[in-house]
Amino acid sequence: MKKIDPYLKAVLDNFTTNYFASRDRAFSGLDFESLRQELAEIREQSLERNQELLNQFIAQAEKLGSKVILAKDSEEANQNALNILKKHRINKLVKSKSMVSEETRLNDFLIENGIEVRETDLGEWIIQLDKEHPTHMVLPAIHLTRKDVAKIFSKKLGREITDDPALLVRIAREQLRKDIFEAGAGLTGANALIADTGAMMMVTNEGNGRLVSTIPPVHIVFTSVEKLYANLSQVFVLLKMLPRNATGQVITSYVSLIAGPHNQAQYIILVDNHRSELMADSVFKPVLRCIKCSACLNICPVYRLLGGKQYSHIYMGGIGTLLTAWIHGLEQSKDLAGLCLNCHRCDESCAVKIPIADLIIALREKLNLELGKPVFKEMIFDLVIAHQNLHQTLFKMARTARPLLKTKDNFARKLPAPFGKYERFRALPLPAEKSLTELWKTQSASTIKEQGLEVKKLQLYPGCLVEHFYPEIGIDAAKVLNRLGYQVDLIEAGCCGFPALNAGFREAGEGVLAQLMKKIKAENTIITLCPTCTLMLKRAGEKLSSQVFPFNKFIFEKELGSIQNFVPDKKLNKTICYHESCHQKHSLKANEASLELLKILAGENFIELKNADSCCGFAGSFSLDHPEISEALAMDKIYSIRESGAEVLALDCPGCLLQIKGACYNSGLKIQVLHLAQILASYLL
Amino acid sequence: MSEQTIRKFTERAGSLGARVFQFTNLSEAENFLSKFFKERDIKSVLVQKKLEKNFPALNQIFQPPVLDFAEAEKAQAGFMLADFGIADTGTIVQFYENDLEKLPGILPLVCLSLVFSEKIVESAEAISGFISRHLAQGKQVALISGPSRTADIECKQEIGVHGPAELIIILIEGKSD
Repeated sequence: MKKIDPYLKAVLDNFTTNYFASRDRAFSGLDFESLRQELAEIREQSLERNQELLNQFIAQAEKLGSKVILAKDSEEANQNALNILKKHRINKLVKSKSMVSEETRLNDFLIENGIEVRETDLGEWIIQLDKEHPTHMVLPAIHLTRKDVAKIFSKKLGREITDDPALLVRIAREQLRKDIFEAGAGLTGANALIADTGAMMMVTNEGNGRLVSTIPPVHIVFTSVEKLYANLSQVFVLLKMLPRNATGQVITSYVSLIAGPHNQAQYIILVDNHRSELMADSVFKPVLRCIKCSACLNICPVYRLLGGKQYSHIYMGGIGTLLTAWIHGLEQSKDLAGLCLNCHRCDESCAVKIPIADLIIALREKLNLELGKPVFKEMIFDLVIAHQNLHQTLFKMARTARPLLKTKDNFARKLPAPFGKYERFRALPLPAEKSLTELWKTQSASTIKEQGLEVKKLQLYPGCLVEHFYPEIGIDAAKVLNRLGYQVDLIEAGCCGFPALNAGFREAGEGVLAQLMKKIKAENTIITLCPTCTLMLKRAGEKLSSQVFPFNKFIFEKELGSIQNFVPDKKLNKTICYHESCHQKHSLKANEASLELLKILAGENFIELKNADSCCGFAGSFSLDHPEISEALAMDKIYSIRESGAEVLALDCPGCLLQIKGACYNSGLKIQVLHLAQILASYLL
Repeated sequence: MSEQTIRKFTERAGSLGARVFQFTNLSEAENFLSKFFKERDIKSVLVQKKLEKNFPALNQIFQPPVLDFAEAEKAQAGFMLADFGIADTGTIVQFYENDLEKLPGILPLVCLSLVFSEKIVESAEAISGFISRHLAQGKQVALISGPSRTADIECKQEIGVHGPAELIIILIEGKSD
């Protein structure tokens, strides 16, 4: 069970708000998409040519007087660093920020071997004094308050220090300057290694990297083998992206390009730590494109709640999970892999287009295959979801038991105590009295067919939540489409297979998808009511992908004119706001269609929802695996909805509807939570 | 260099916290420096050798004259000559033949840098080849944009954590000898 620290959450929320504003300003006048495409291609080519570039770099660097050492793992890298220090009879080392040295636990190793190690980056020094590890790749002490820092400094200096940040910074300068002049060696990381000149590039804001690489008589560069670039022009592309995406700066205060030693001896230790294996892996190779900008952390809803202490082994967040699996072993990544919501926000912000969310799914599969499947999930996905007849039968049984489960407000009764955590913050829905398939065959079917026109045929895939819990959404969607002149056939299938795929049960998920595919007619357009199902269907190949339309996008792109002309004077008479579902916005990029439609329908009754695209915390089985995180996300959403004062919340995803409707009920927030299809139905019918 | 590029350089450097003073000739700059050091009571200035070589008159400005590098750590200010300015980021570019040349820009709390308007280019890419050639010869290069800064305590910006808290750019029309 993860713990959510309200202070840390507030700090990270505040940081993120400022970060987004700075990032937007920093990218103004630049096309982020084309820049990241260019950088992704550069990184991909560098990985393709890694051995060639590495050889070139080593030859050039050694020609300039540097000594390059290749270390296959952490142990070898640490031992080499110690050997260098011993050779030069050095007992004090100063360091600027190096995540690779965190990766190898270099400090612990050197200290155990009698070396005094001093971090000089302010944040790193603070956490070193506090005997902690970084919780953010760019802002390592982000979890500490100024009061914490004052306490840490007071303890270190043996006198009372006030919590004025300017004073704390001045004290750090004085203390660390002494250390830098006393040290026999300085160790830095590197952001890039330039093959054609043998130079390294390092970005810093504090200037400690410049001091550490200049003042002590020995300079050790401690970095990893994938950071190669062919030439400086490529590094300038990196430089255009890195500070902007990392901290919202156009450029950092200092960019150092160091080619060989000047007055000192210079050693460059290049750590592999399974990166060569990762480079050869066709699925996971893109992980090594990472430039460690941390943008994916800054926007990750789970990182923002847990921080780097809980959401890391050493590397943090989603990308950290992937790096951990290879660098520190699968076992270490097991719990981390379950913390991803699969919201795809990280994919959108990644500087080098790493498909982090999809790779986490691939990692879950790898974990299941190599470390064994969790028994309960195996039962659910390999037995129930994979066998749709059994799946349907279980829902039928649940419908039969409905009267026993029902409360007066049409939610499910409270679960026994051990399961209370799943519903503490949200009332759970009951299975509908009749499934959509049953309703379609009885009262609704004739109406729908009578009104339909033969010439415009569609198939509707509702997804299992609409099928079993919210059939009224399916009926309303069909009626709206009928009204616009379409004949709608229902695809009678349950699950799309995504829950199994998402949990790493790819075979089961794709098996379910294959069964669903048999019910799809090649010539038809498929309308979906759930963004997650849409994503899954789009996995079934390019042909099908072009046939599949989310309901909102279909209406907006094909029928906007009809909607506008249908009942021109009729406006929705309730205030309405819109929740942007993760898959709808970050994967399908289809949220704008709903926004535009709602603005047309509601006119001045449309209210902007603050943080409309923040995750509601449902994310399928995530809300069962991590109810405490799900709850915190849901409560943030409820706060925004309450603050909006709207009477209706519109959304596109039945999963979000389940979460938000249940959370509104438990929070006493009286608001209608409706799928866009229901809102359009109330407008058109 | 176009006026627009110079203006962009000045604005961007200013937005990063550097202060830019423009002069039409070296003599005006020398007057400014004399006054500046006097007003700030700066008595020890670390001067880059290449600056001394190009502008011998500068020795007369500093009282006492240029420090020995062995005393570098005690200097109140550093004074250096930028090899280039980059307009689109407000950056000054330094090429170093040896580590001692870096000290005026990394040790004191106040750093002043001369830059000639003719040396201001639009973007880093414009001098990419030039920098590469220097790197291939084992020289080191720094792009400096504003003062030393940190946001490590509660994400609040503070300056002067390791390097200069003040970056003063003295922009002179024309080119160096």
